Amino acid sequence: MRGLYIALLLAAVALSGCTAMAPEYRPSYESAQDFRDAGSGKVAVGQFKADKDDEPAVTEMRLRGSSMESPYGSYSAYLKHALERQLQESQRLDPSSDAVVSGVLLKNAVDINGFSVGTSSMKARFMVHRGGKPIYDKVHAAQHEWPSSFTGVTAFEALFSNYHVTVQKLIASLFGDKEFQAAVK
Amino acid sequence: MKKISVFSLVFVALALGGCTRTINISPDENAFKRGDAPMVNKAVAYYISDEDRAKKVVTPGGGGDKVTYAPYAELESALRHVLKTRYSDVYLLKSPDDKAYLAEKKISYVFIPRITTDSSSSSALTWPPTDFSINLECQAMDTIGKPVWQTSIEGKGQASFSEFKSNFGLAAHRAAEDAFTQLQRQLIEAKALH
Repeated sequence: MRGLYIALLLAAVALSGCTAMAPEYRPSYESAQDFRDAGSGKVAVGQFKADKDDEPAVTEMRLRGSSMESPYGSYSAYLKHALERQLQESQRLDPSSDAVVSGVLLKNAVDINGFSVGTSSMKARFMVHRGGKPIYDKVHAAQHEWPSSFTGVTAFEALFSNYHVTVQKLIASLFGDKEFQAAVK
Repeated sequence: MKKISVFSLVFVALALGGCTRTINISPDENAFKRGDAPMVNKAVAYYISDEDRAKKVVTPGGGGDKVTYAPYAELESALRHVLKTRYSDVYLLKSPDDKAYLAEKKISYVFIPRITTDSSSSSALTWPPTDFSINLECQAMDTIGKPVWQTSIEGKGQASFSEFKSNFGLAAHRAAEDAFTQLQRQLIEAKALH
């Protein structure tokens, strides 16, 4: 009977338009090591916001009638936290550095409406200022897809195991950019 | 109404029965405190192959369901954290034979983990595993690839239905904390690694 209650509860979450909390960001250690090896300049993380300060406008969630919230209050805050975590793992985060990375979230899309594949994509503009002077300004984008399921609960679990990978890929794109590496050297 | 209810229950049973459910087995990094043991002022590295990092395994849950997770990718944070509590610098090694990198970073030891897992449930009605085990074999090599230390650790974790809440990997988290806490203790005791 207890199993039935759980089944009904999970089915309700998956099928009845509930809001779920995305898991916290998990860093890519390979990306962090690559960036550590690329230089030793320290970086501070500045303001991150959604394009035109309108987070709903840049967010496209196709989640079978449900929604997913950021554990950091917003998805631009998610991206900021992720970048801080990657820089920390790279041993290149220093809040007092005069090289400051800031960002604008341009797109944050998730689609698990398909029965066999889930997809997520993210696009953001990253800027670096050193001593207040702009020295880097570029848009990076990343996308990720994973096996999904007809079953709503399984599709959500797969999403929770994969959303952060999209963000990992976006930051790896930034870290791999030679111009960014030069800007924060 | 009765027909709808029966239909709903059959649908739920079909949708959720015999599934492979995704869990995450990463333990809380804060579980591994530095403690009183002095840090070893050496750089070390660990190596996980791309194949292992991408590997997903499936082990039993309860009620005929199975659980899937990525043991190496999800336990990498625990390995890094435990090494960081013991050594002054920790690197991720892309190739175990990259002698130039080992020399450039003055790396003293390379740790290579082998991880196997198993799970089960004492409940026929709920899918999350109530028992989880992690076998962690870890070998340390010197810079010429000679083994200088090795261990084999069995971490076990249990969780009951009333504890799960939204953390369906709780037994796995406890097994991981057990395994890597043992590793942390053994690293402190291993004179060959000082």
